[in-house]
Amino acid sequence: MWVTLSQLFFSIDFLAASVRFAMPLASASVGEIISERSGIVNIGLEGMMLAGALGSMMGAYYLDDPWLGLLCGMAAGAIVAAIHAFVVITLAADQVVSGAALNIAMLGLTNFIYRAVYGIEERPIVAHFEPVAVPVLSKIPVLGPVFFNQIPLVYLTYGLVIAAAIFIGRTRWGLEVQAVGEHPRAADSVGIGVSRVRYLTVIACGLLAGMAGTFFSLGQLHTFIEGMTGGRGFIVLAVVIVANWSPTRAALAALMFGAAEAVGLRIQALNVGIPYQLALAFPYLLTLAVYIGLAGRSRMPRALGMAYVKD
Amino acid sequence: MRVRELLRQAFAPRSGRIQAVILPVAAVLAALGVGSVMIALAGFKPLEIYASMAVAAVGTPQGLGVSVTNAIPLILAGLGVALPFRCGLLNIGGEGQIYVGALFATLVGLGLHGLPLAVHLPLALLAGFIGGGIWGAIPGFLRASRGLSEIIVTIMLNYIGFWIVSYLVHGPLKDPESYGYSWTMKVPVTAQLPIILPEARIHLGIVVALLAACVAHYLLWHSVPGFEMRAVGAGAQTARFAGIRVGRSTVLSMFIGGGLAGLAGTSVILGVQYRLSDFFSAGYGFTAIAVALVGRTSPVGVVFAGLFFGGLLNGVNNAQRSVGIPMGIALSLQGLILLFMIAGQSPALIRWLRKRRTARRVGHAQPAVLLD
Repeated sequence: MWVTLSQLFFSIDFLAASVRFAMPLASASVGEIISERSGIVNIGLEGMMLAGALGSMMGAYYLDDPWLGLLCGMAAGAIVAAIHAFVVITLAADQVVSGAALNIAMLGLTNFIYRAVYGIEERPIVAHFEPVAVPVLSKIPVLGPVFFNQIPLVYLTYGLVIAAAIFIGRTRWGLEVQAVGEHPRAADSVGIGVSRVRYLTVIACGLLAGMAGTFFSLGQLHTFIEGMTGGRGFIVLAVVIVANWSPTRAALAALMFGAAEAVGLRIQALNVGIPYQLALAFPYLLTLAVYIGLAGRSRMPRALGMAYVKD
Repeated sequence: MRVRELLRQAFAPRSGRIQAVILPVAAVLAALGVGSVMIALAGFKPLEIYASMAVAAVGTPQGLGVSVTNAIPLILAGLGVALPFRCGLLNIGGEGQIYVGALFATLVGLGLHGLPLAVHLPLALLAGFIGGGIWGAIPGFLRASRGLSEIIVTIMLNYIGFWIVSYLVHGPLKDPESYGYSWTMKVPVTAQLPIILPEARIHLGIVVALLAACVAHYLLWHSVPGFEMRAVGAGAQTARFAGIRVGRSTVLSMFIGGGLAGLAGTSVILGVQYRLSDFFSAGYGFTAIAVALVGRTSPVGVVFAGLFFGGLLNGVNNAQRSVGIPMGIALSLQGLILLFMIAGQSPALIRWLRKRRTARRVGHAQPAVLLD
């Protein structure tokens, strides 16, 4: 038992897999944080990730380039986000129901489009991202192979987390986003366009959700499978809360959930006598446990979930 | 004057009879319109597809029977969303509650022997209700005691409930004599919901679903706990000032909601499949959200919305088999209908309409559901 446990946790492979599984969660949670900081809940994250997964797969299929695929995936996520923005900002409708509706619609629509275009034959394997070792950094013992021998999307996410932390805390625009999420009326009275800021943050969230979806299609499986995001969009919602709406903390929380997924897969592979179904349930159990343990300590943006209507 | 305000809100008219029908119908038509563009782009003829779906859903007694059979779990799970919604909670956990409820019912169905149907079946139904109820009460309790979002907790419990059932039907509960599928043994006849309309093959579950709708209607509009739930949904703070125990209403509404979803899963196992598997719920828990909101979260509305969506599923299934239209069209339409529903009753749109036709009142506010 202890031998297998040590095999589980002290191998480079395991740690590298944790980072690989964590980064889609990290990029999606950065998007969700930016959106929620401006006061808009985006439950539709899962649907936007699915749109991104299919969009990037189709982009890579037709343009034969993973980077162009990534752009298509991000655009697909942004289009779905724009619908959410219109419904909850312009129409001031319920944010949670709109997100839930988009999740249901995208689960269906991605299936519909994929089947209509590719039929039910063999899944096409498309142009995808391969791991790239970063010169010098990848030579650092342990940390090198764990963090710096990954697909380029992972490095993009490192930059994204740092950029988002600086953007929210240290730039004028970031402070405007916070003002809109804390007290939209006050922000409005000093000339900040509440709707404009919220449209931009929601669409930014869609772009990043599309990027998160691209991890699954172009980073892991190199094709599209219905529902391939498997509820990670919902795990991100919990990540954002336990991270107290901070991008860097969200990245750390994402690492923990990435490790949980890697543990689940390891348990399956090592065949240590734990049924695989329970191993697959582990990330969701951990999410729930951490959420129960830590959620009470976080403070959400004051105007979160509330529509702002000008008098 | 807070209390009076609260009473006024809780006893406010449920919504104009006419718009209670117009809005859902308009949302469905708008979604079908968008859907026809999708169908046309995929290379099919939308009008032909819709016509064949309608014929399949209501054209023959057998087809109608399938539609109604589909509607049974949708009505039950839809009530399971509608009731907590009135208390200001969004129950996205129907799928997990369906699986856990079905598990409890199967255990009672398989575990008890030698009982007459009049005893065994009600016991199995009760077990299904309790199983789903427990799975619903957990997020209710966590919300009431620790302020956790019922949305996140129910979603996590969906996955956990599903994997527990998946483990059991592949392992300890697997029927040793079935090779192709991983599922349990058949529940005995004494625990099955008997067929009551043989020509259309409709089982007793329809009576269970209609009874549940009646009970939900009574609970919501004619009982003290239901009044308290609606008061909490109209404003938890105000309700607390008025002396209502908000936590108790939260847990109770989620227990009943989860229980109804559990009954939905139970009705599929005891009425149609007779064996528990990990693939029996065709996303009923998610369709239930559309059913509840299209039914404007009133039990009577949920019955009609459930019948409509039962027919829609049947029609899409048929179109998939006959002309190969992808099943995803069903979920796409559900999501679109939901979007048009909330867009149609959005405060901004209503204000805009009011400006145009100041004399007429349009729409009524739903309780706000927040993520916190």
